[in-house]
Amino acid sequence: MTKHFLKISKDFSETPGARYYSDGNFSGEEFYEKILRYAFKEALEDDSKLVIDLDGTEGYATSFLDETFMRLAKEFGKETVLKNIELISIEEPDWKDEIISYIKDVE
Amino acid sequence: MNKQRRKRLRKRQKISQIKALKSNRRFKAFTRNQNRYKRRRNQSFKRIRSEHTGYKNALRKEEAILPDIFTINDNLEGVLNFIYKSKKILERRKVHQVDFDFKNVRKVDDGAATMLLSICSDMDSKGIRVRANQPLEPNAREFIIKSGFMQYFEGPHRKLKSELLNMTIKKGKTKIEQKDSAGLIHKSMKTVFTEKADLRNQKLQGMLIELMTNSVNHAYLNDQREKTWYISTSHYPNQNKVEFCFVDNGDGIINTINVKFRLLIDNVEILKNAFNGDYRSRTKLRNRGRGLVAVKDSHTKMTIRGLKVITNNVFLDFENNVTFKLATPFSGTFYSWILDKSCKQ
Repeated sequence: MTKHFLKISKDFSETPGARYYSDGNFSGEEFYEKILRYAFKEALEDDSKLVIDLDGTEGYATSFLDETFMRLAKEFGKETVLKNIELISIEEPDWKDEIISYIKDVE
Repeated sequence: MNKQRRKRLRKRQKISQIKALKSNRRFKAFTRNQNRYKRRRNQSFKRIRSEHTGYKNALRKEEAILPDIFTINDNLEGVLNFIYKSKKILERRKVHQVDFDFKNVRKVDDGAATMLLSICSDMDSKGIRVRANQPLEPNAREFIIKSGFMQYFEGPHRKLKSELLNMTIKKGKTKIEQKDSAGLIHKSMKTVFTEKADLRNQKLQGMLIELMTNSVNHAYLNDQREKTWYISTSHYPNQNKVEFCFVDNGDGIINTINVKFRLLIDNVEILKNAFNGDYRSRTKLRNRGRGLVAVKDSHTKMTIRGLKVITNNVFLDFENNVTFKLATPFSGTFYSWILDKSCKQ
């Protein structure tokens, strides 16, 4: 299986913000609608995995991660998302588990 | 007839003389100055009179005398009482100027100073002039000068600047300013971990975004109010320590939770439950309410230490596991914590 790569610090921002557009710049909503959604679609079409690299940023708020991955799971289904994404978080390993829990929480 | 003619002629002459005089530049300038003088005299008189008699256009001054021990650690109730009274001034109509009297202050700390500055800034944005003098006690005065506290007040001490300024205050309005918080963190990491090349602290950045988000999205029940928050950092390079304070003057965590859930339990329990994420599961939106849990996590995972929270009538000290009810409530939320070498890098 081939892999597509997405590094948040390079492809989006080094200073990701909060949940919504209304909260300020580089929100989770913005990241999902402008980048993640298309990157994941492309990966699915190529029958490959999307590797999301969380390292290199100043840090994430739970609301940013939650909004991003919750919406991804809602749109594509949590099984599909869990099967087709790979997370890299060497600097803060806790985030990987948190993101997986956000995806699993989607009803 | 001759007499009447003479009278008419004199009248005409007088009128033409007056006309000539009025068209004269010097006369015009003279009358203009006279009018200006009259206007000024009336104004100052009105002001002076109004101050003494409560005239409706009065220049209303309020004087606020600070308690001699202005610290959260030693005189929490005194500080909160003073802050409560200062907020009442803010609510009053037609206050034009507030003079804060620091003369008798013997001890100040960062938390109390940040609380006061947040109110002063709110006064300033409401068009109220804020003035202050300096403490007479040398140590308190030194603290005030080093903190750069006086720069935020009007008055002769405003220009006082020290090369050793160790306090930075960021004010935010209605938005999350994650670049500003990242900048504060970089400076703080440089003070604490002097030898470290990477100045990021991702967990702390995450926590600051949570606090800003809570202030902007949840702290103000009345949407018409200006949503502001303040972060202050005080650097102590000799101790490799930075003290952080975060304040918003909203409605407080407990009040906002009570409005949403109408709970009938003790306020202390409500606050503890909020930090444990208990109200998350009660909402239909299961993904909400993780912010306060993340703040508590930052303390338990040693990203920061000495986390204290004051909101409404509850004080919560996470490090010493101390919780108690306050006699004077604080309408808003105040957090303080420390970043030092014992914290996780």
